[in-house]
Amino acid sequence: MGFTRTLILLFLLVSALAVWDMAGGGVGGFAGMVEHDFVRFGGQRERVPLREPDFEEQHSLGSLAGVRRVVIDGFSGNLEVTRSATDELSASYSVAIWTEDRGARTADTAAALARQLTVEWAREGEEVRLQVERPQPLPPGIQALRVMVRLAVPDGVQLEARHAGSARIVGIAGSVRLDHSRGEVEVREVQGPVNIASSWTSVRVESVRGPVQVDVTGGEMRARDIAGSVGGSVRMGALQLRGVEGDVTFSVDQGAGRVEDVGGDVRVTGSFGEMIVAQVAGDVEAYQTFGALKVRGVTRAADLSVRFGDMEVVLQGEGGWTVDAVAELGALETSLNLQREQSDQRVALSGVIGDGAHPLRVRVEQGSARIARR
Amino acid sequence: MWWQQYKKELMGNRTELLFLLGFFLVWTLFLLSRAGVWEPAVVIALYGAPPSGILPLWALWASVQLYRQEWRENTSYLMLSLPVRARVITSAKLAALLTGVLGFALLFAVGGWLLLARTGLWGEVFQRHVFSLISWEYAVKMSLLTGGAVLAALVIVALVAQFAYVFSRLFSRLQGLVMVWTWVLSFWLMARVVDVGGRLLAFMPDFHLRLLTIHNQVPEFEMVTVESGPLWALALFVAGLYTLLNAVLERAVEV
Repeated sequence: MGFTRTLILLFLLVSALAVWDMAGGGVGGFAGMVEHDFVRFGGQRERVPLREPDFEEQHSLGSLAGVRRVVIDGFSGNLEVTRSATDELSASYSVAIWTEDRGARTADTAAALARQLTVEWAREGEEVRLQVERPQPLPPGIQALRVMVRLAVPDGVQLEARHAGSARIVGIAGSVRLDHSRGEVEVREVQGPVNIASSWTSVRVESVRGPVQVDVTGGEMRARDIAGSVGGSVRMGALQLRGVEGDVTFSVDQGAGRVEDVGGDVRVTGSFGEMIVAQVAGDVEAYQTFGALKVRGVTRAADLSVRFGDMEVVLQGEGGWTVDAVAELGALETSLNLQREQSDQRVALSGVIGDGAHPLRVRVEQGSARIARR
Repeated sequence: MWWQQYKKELMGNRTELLFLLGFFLVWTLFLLSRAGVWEPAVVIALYGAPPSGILPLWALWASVQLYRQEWRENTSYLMLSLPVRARVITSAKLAALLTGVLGFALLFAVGGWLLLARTGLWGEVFQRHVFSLISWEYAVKMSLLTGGAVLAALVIVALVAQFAYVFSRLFSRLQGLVMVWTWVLSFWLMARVVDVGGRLLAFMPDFHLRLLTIHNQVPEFEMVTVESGPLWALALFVAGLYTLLNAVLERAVEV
């Protein structure tokens, strides 16, 4: 009987702990626990071909001087752009072909196919256009063809590309404009404005000096260490921003967002997902529908709204706030010394925290909000 | 003794098992007759939909049923008075369940192969295009890994269900409610153990996995690193739960 009693006591104890844990986090907390990542993937992803290509060729396009703008139009393949060691623009490309049977006849077909691929410069004054024509469709016996274009651009050159595939742009000083689909984009150590519109993709932007604008449809956007403002949108995907010196203006539709460590103001809107905003030096404006909104480390003014979801607000620092919080068909919780007015369908909290220097506006419609101070 | 127990479990549930397999065979034969009449994609989608929903539900139901019938048919007296350790009984019941799942998965694979071949999708997708670049060795390895992961997940679900049922027998009232709550509680505890245990076991070496992806119509391997800490913590939790199930069955349950 001793064992049974101990078991039942343990059961009651763990039950109490679980109820406290689940209730503390609300519905969102419980859902978050269920969605917990049991398997965590980490580290850099390294990519290698399944099989070495059966045919491979490399070509150089030579160098061009006096170029101010490079345009790559409708290229499908892998693109790599780095900084030129000289004042000249240079380009090279490689073609890799995978064949079905690796026989001599197929090798001839592959060589003929490689010759059909044309990569050329077209120059108009200070602007050059890189034209890539790849054979379509692939002839019988050829399983896959990959084109990789490498550009080395001098400082001050504007880069503009319409591209499908993987793109890696590293270490250049000039503006980048990328219209991209299907593949991964990596933009790193760039000095200049970056503008990316991408679909079905994963975009990573790191260590950029200049404003960044990214619009992603179906995919994820990760950015860190940006010395400038960041703006854009993510539809059906995820956003992760960390370490932005300027302002952040972003919308996340049908996906999760996380914005941390921002030097300027933050304006975010989101729907059907969780939005986390943390450690913002400037003002925060956030609007979330059908999802959770968590704003942690608020130090200045904040205007926060949630519809059909839960909100968590954590104020931080020595400053003060004038609180104006209203929940329609919802609940407001706080341990702070605020005045509460409650009717059947409406709860309001108001009052002054500290010196009341910054306005804190909270609006909840059919949901709940918890306001705390750390 | 274990073998006898295992055979008893299989025979005891043969009616449900045969009914399920019969239904699946009829469904497969019906869809085979539709190949060439309906769109291939529709045939494959209709083939995959019912088993993917039925299999986990059946595993859940069967895992409780294996114990429930002992109490219902009053054979629990015999089960608990047998001169064998509880682990023999529990492992035989789990093995019987896994046998059913494996048999079902095998039939599903064979039926899928037949349908893919009959609809012409096999040749179209796997032989002509880039999929043919994938080596058999990798395909077999990943199939085993995926199959193993699915089986492990089903074992965890079954184990939690069995523990919840057996634990509810400790109570004389509200057994159904206790069973459901124990089920929820077990998954809550599992999530917390995996979270905390994963951090404590972060020193364990990572797993490395080659994942197949297709970029620009070229198949490639992505070398990904998987943190092993949470997986070790999960394995420890499952081992602990299994030990507790044996202890409850052996020492605590009164019939």
